[in-house]
Amino acid sequence: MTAFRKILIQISSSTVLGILPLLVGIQVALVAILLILNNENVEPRAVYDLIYERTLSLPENRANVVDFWLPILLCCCGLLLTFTAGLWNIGIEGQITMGAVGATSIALFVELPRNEQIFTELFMAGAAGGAWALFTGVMRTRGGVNEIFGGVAMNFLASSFSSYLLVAPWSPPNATGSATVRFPENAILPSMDDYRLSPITMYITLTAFIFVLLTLSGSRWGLQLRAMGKNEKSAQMLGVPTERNIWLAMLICGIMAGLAGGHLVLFRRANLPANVSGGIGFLSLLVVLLASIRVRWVPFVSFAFALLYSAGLPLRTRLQLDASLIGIFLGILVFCVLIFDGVRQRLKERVEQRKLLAASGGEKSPPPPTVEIQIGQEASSGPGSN
Amino acid sequence: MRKRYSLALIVVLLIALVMGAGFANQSKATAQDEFVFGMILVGPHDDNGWSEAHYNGGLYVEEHVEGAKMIWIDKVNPADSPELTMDLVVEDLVSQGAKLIIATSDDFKADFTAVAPNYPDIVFIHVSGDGVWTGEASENMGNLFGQMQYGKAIAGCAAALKTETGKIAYLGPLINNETRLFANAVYLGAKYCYEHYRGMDPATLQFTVNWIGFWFNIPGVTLDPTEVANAFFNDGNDVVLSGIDTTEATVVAGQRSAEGERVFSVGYDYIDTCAEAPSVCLGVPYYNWGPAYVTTVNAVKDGTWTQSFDWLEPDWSDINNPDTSIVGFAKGTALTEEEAAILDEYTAALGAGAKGEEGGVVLFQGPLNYQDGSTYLEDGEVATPEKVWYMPQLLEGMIGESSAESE
Repeated sequence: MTAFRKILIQISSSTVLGILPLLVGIQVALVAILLILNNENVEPRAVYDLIYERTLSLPENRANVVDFWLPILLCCCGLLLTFTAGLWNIGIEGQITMGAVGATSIALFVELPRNEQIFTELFMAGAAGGAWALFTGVMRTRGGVNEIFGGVAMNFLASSFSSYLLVAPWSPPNATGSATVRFPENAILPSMDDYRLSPITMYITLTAFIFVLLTLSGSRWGLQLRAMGKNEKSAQMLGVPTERNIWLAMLICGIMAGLAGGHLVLFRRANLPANVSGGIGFLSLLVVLLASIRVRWVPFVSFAFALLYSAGLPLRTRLQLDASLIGIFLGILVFCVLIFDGVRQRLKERVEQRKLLAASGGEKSPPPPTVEIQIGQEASSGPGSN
Repeated sequence: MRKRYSLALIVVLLIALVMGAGFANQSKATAQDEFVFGMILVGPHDDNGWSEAHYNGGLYVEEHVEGAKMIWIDKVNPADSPELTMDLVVEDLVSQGAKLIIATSDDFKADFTAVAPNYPDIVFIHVSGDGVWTGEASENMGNLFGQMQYGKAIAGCAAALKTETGKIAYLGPLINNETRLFANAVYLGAKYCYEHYRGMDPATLQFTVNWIGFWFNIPGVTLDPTEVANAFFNDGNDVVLSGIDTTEATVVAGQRSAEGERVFSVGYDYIDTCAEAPSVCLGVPYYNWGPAYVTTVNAVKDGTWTQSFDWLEPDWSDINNPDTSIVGFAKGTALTEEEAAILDEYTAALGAGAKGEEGGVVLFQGPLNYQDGSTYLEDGEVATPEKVWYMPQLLEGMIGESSAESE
């Protein structure tokens, strides 16, 4: 073994090699963003100053960021379950939309005492989102339709259905428009006194997060989901009820997405607009991927995204940046981090191979054994390994 | 190792996102003599249409009112900015010192009306809304609009003068009182000129309306205006008039003309719309918001503003005067000199009618029926402003939907 190889192996065991590609990824993203800002004749420092000033400096601004954050985190909680089970729930956008439609169906046409009204609206939001996701799961297990294709189709169907409702049955009186009429006050989620935040959505999101955390870190069902995520067929042979688990994971994810959709219409908008999901589902998919499906890190990554998302408005009104640029910045950041994370994984594999070679005195050794799954250990790979 | 890596990932991401935060400046106080007004645009500020006309109106204010400064946000619609709500937008504009906020789409009506009472010291102007009339508007909110039905009638006249197939079409946005009014005005203008200047039987004029579903194209949500315009021409219409905020009708007409077809278009909203395809453009009824905005800004600045519903007529002495007329008609180069002269004559007649002068043309005068045959105006009856604003149907003789399918 050469001295260089030894040094390389030593470095590889440190965090440096783990972080370096990430830093390079972020740097590449920042350079790309700087180039765009330069092209727009905007001072990068002005952008950073503004992001801080309009998102974190004042309590009401922080409240706005949290309001952006909650539905994203709620969707992420659901996606953690499906990703862990090896399911790409691309259909989450449709589940958000159907949740919003479900809540709207009560808000517009049912009048109950306040508490019952809110409960019924949220129940319908969760039920509609859950049913939409469950259908994708059933198509997967009984119809042989991959959940990615099923999800895309269900997204399209939900979007078209929502558009139809706005054009015809739910359009404002004697008119058509991009949204329904505003919901009556009785139908809107209550807000905190000092800040525009919904305590109900906060409780729901917190409950969802704790549920997912406990499920994936210490429950038998969480263990089964991870086993399915590693290899669905093997898990099935070992007695894991894979079909039931797919349905259950999709159902719970759909309920959470539906509740997020309910929040959007019952609190943030107070009506059902066209394009109600607005890409929150896809954003949540990216968040969970960036967090490597680790429950504990999802709140932080999703908060960072919500922060950038909510910074879009002041960047537009004060620096006249185009509406699409914020999405482009987020996309560049995610793209670069994922690319360089891939590089990091490749480097790690190569170094481990060299380690094994060194240990066996240069002879070819068999590939490392598959990862054993133990309760208490979080999932560590992406879905689709089955 | 993996946990350490993930922790590092989060920390680095967060640091990257808020780096430079320590250098954050406090918000700059507005200058003593500065008057900040906010403008909320539904489409792009450079759309060659509705939103650009408003944006230019704001620039006109900056030019004509000392210390006036516009802050604006465009693309406030569910497709471009699904994350935005009116609360957030207004809060942001007020935090920058706006004392007057102008919302420039009927699509903002419900949300703008709901937000206004939360800021009693700020004046809210809703362009194209009717909240003051209906009593929904709080005291700090007013309405402003131009009587575009006259511009639309002139547009309809231009189409009627040019058509050879006797088939003209209207590319409509969504369906509401405003859009029905304008479609009806186009039809009446076309019908009048087809009969009086062309000497044709107005019953043989085919006038078709198709609504795309919003003020501009939203893929997957609205009909594609390019496809609708092409379908119109495929069906034998030789003039398509635009009622939407963007320029697809003119662009498509230009493309088809380049392929040798005899087709024309009439634009909407923005004075320079014809620049998209001058050879096919018969003209454009446009808004000139600047003077009206100057009046409003001065009133708010002086503290003399009071709530009102301002539905302003064109300056009939010269509808294209940039300093006095809120509605104008820019004639296109596709009109012959003779046709242009007829348009001037018709415009003068409309002005005389609006002023109640002898021999003038009154646009909305009976007998007129709705599409379902019910009476809109009795013989000789002249519509009140309310009857003009609130028309629940298209008029008899027009082809197209009057309202949403459910009704």
